[in-house]
Amino acid sequence: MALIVIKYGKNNVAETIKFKAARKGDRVVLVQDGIFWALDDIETEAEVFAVIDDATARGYSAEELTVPSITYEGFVEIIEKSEKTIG
Amino acid sequence: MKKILFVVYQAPGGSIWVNEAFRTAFGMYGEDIEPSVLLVEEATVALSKKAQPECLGLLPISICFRFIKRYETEVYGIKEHVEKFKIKDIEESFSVKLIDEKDTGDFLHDFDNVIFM
Repeated sequence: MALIVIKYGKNNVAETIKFKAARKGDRVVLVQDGIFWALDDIETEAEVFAVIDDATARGYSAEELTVPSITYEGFVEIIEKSEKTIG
Repeated sequence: MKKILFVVYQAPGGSIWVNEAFRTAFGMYGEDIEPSVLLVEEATVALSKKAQPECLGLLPISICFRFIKRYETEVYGIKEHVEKFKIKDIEESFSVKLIDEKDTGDFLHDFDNVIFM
Protein backbone atom coordinates (compact mmCIF):
# COMPACT_ATOMS: atom_id res chain seq x y z
CA MET A 1 0.00 0.00 0.00
CA ALA A 2 1.64 3.24 -1.14
CA LEU A 3 0.86 6.86 -0.45
CA ILE A 4 1.03 8.86 -3.67
CA VAL A 5 1.26 12.63 -3.33
CA ILE A 6 0.18 14.78 -6.28
CA LYS A 7 1.14 18.44 -6.07
CA TYR A 8 1.07 19.69 -9.64
CA GLY A 9 -1.75 20.09 -12.13
CA LYS A 10 -2.71 17.98 -15.11
CA ASN A 11 0.00 19.29 -17.45
CA ASN A 12 2.79 17.84 -15.36
CA VAL A 13 4.24 14.60 -16.78
CA ALA A 14 5.40 13.41 -13.37
CA GLU A 15 1.88 13.49 -11.93
CA THR A 16 0.54 11.64 -14.96
CA ILE A 17 3.12 8.88 -14.36
CA LYS A 18 2.17 8.72 -10.68
CA PHE A 19 -1.55 8.40 -11.45
CA LYS A 20 -0.84 5.62 -13.95
CA ALA A 21 1.20 3.85 -11.27
CA ALA A 22 -1.60 4.08 -8.68
CA ARG A 23 -3.33 0.79 -7.98
CA LYS A 24 -5.93 -0.78 -5.71
CA GLY A 25 -4.92 -0.34 -2.08
CA ASP A 26 -2.91 2.84 -2.72
CA ARG A 27 -3.98 6.20 -1.36
CA VAL A 28 -3.55 9.28 -3.55
CA VAL A 29 -3.60 12.68 -1.84
CA LEU A 30 -4.00 15.84 -3.92
CA VAL A 31 -2.18 18.81 -2.37
CA GLN A 32 -1.38 22.31 -3.63
CA ASP A 33 -2.11 22.56 -7.37
CA GLY A 34 -2.81 18.83 -7.34
CA ILE A 35 -6.39 19.63 -6.32
CA PHE A 36 -7.06 20.71 -9.93
CA TRP A 37 -7.21 17.01 -10.80
CA ALA A 38 -10.33 16.81 -8.59
CA LEU A 39 -12.30 19.22 -10.76
CA ASP A 40 -12.96 16.29 -13.08
CA ASP A 41 -13.68 12.61 -12.58
CA ILE A 42 -10.50 10.63 -11.90
CA GLU A 43 -10.12 7.12 -13.30
CA THR A 44 -8.13 5.04 -10.82
CA GLU A 45 -8.62 2.05 -8.54
CA ALA A 46 -6.79 3.83 -5.73
CA GLU A 47 -8.54 5.92 -3.07
CA VAL A 48 -8.16 9.62 -3.84
CA PHE A 49 -8.44 12.51 -1.37
CA ALA A 50 -8.00 16.25 -1.77
CA VAL A 51 -6.72 18.56 0.96
CA ILE A 52 -9.52 21.03 1.63
CA ASP A 53 -7.20 23.84 2.73
CA ASP A 54 -5.58 23.90 -0.71
CA ALA A 55 -8.95 23.71 -2.45
CA THR A 56 -10.34 26.58 -0.38
CA ALA A 57 -7.19 28.62 -1.04
CA ARG A 58 -7.90 28.24 -4.74
CA GLY A 59 -11.57 29.18 -4.38
CA TYR A 60 -13.20 25.75 -4.47
CA SER A 61 -15.56 24.18 -1.93
CA ALA A 62 -15.65 20.51 -1.01
CA GLU A 63 -18.86 20.08 -3.00
CA GLU A 64 -17.09 21.14 -6.20
CA LEU A 65 -14.52 18.38 -5.90
CA THR A 66 -15.05 14.91 -7.38
CA VAL A 67 -13.18 13.25 -4.50
CA PRO A 68 -13.57 13.30 -0.70
CA SER A 69 -11.71 16.14 1.02
CA ILE A 70 -9.50 15.85 4.09
CA THR A 71 -7.71 18.31 6.32
CA TYR A 72 -3.95 18.50 6.68
CA GLU A 73 -4.33 16.58 9.94
CA GLY A 74 -6.00 13.82 7.97
CA PHE A 75 -3.13 13.92 5.49
CA VAL A 76 -0.62 13.47 8.32
CA GLU A 77 -2.57 10.43 9.56
CA ILE A 78 -2.37 8.87 6.10
CA ILE A 79 1.38 9.55 5.97
CA GLU A 80 1.87 7.83 9.32
CA LYS A 81 0.01 4.73 8.14
CA SER A 82 1.81 4.44 4.80
CA GLU A 83 4.62 1.93 4.34
CA LYS A 84 5.73 3.29 0.97
CA THR A 85 5.60 6.73 -0.59
CA ILE A 86 5.65 8.00 -4.15
CA GLY A 87 5.92 11.77 -4.07
CA MET B 1 18.20 -1.78 3.55
CA LYS B 2 15.74 0.87 2.34
CA LYS B 3 15.32 1.15 -1.43
CA ILE B 4 14.89 4.70 -2.72
CA LEU B 5 14.22 5.72 -6.30
CA PHE B 6 14.81 9.18 -7.69
CA VAL B 7 12.69 9.86 -10.76
CA VAL B 8 13.89 12.74 -12.94
CA TYR B 9 11.44 14.11 -15.48
CA GLN B 10 12.98 17.43 -16.54
CA ALA B 11 15.47 17.89 -19.35
CA PRO B 12 19.20 18.16 -18.50
CA GLY B 13 19.60 21.11 -20.82
CA GLY B 14 17.17 23.31 -18.98
CA SER B 15 17.37 22.22 -15.37
CA ILE B 16 19.79 20.88 -12.77
CA TRP B 17 17.71 17.88 -11.81
CA VAL B 18 19.60 15.10 -13.59
CA ASN B 19 22.83 16.01 -11.82
CA GLU B 20 20.98 16.69 -8.58
CA ALA B 21 19.40 13.22 -8.61
CA PHE B 22 22.78 11.55 -9.00
CA ARG B 23 24.44 13.83 -6.45
CA THR B 24 21.70 13.04 -3.93
CA ALA B 25 21.94 9.33 -4.67
CA PHE B 26 25.73 9.30 -4.24
CA GLY B 27 25.37 11.03 -0.90
CA MET B 28 23.22 8.19 0.42
CA TYR B 29 25.79 5.42 0.23
CA GLY B 30 26.99 6.21 3.76
CA GLU B 31 23.54 5.24 5.08
CA ASP B 32 21.63 1.93 5.05
CA ILE B 33 19.98 3.00 1.80
CA GLU B 34 20.15 1.68 -1.74
CA PRO B 35 19.44 4.55 -4.15
CA SER B 36 18.52 4.16 -7.81
CA VAL B 37 17.74 6.69 -10.54
CA LEU B 38 15.02 6.52 -13.19
CA LEU B 39 15.11 9.00 -16.10
CA VAL B 40 11.71 9.60 -17.72
CA GLU B 41 10.19 11.90 -20.34
CA GLU B 42 12.52 14.83 -21.19
CA ALA B 43 15.14 13.67 -18.68
CA THR B 44 15.65 10.65 -20.94
CA VAL B 45 17.79 12.77 -23.26
CA ALA B 46 20.47 12.74 -20.56
CA LEU B 47 21.14 9.14 -21.67
CA SER B 48 22.31 10.33 -25.07
CA LYS B 49 26.03 10.28 -25.84
CA LYS B 50 25.57 13.69 -27.46
CA ALA B 51 23.89 15.41 -24.48
CA GLN B 52 26.02 18.42 -23.48
CA PRO B 53 24.35 20.71 -20.93
CA GLU B 54 27.79 22.19 -20.29
CA CYS B 55 27.55 24.08 -23.59
CA LEU B 56 24.88 26.16 -21.80
CA GLY B 57 27.05 26.62 -18.76
CA LEU B 58 25.37 23.84 -16.79
CA LEU B 59 27.19 21.00 -15.08
CA PRO B 60 28.27 18.22 -17.46
CA ILE B 61 26.50 14.91 -16.86
CA SER B 62 29.81 13.12 -17.40
CA ILE B 63 30.99 14.11 -13.92
CA CYS B 64 28.60 11.44 -12.61
CA PHE B 65 30.04 8.57 -14.64
CA ARG B 66 32.95 7.56 -12.40
CA PHE B 67 30.69 7.58 -9.33
CA ILE B 68 28.02 5.53 -11.12
CA LYS B 69 30.77 3.03 -11.89
CA ARG B 70 32.33 3.13 -8.40
CA TYR B 71 29.02 2.78 -6.53
CA GLU B 72 27.37 0.66 -9.24
CA THR B 73 24.34 2.93 -9.03
CA GLU B 74 21.35 1.40 -10.80
CA VAL B 75 20.17 3.67 -13.62
CA TYR B 76 16.88 3.01 -15.40
CA GLY B 77 15.10 4.46 -18.39
CA ILE B 78 11.83 3.81 -20.20
CA LYS B 79 12.07 2.16 -23.61
CA GLU B 80 9.17 4.12 -25.13
CA HIS B 81 10.67 7.44 -23.96
CA VAL B 82 14.04 6.60 -25.56
CA GLU B 83 12.15 6.07 -28.81
CA LYS B 84 9.92 9.12 -28.27
CA PHE B 85 12.97 11.40 -27.95
CA LYS B 86 14.80 9.60 -30.81
CA ILE B 87 17.93 8.78 -28.80
CA LYS B 88 20.20 6.74 -31.06
CA ASP B 89 23.46 6.43 -29.08
CA ILE B 90 23.07 5.70 -25.39
CA GLU B 91 26.05 6.56 -23.19
CA GLU B 92 27.47 3.23 -21.94
CA SER B 93 28.75 4.76 -18.70
CA PHE B 94 25.19 4.71 -17.36
CA SER B 95 24.84 0.92 -17.88
CA VAL B 96 21.21 1.87 -18.11
CA LYS B 97 18.48 -0.74 -17.81
CA LEU B 98 15.40 0.02 -19.93
CA ILE B 99 11.94 -0.94 -18.71
CA ASP B 100 8.67 -1.03 -20.60
CA GLU B 101 6.29 1.87 -19.95
CA LYS B 102 3.52 -0.58 -19.00
CA ASP B 103 5.71 -1.92 -16.18
CA THR B 104 6.37 1.50 -14.64
CA GLY B 105 3.62 1.16 -12.02
CA ASP B 106 4.95 -2.15 -10.71
CA PHE B 107 8.49 -0.81 -10.86
CA LEU B 108 7.66 2.23 -8.69
CA HIS B 109 5.96 -0.04 -6.15
CA ASP B 110 9.18 -2.05 -5.76
CA PHE B 111 10.75 0.83 -3.83
CA ASP B 112 10.17 2.06 -0.28
CA ASN B 113 10.28 5.68 -1.29
CA VAL B 114 10.00 7.22 -4.73
CA ILE B 115 10.94 10.85 -5.13
CA PHE B 116 10.14 12.77 -8.31
CA MET B 117 12.50 15.63 -8.94
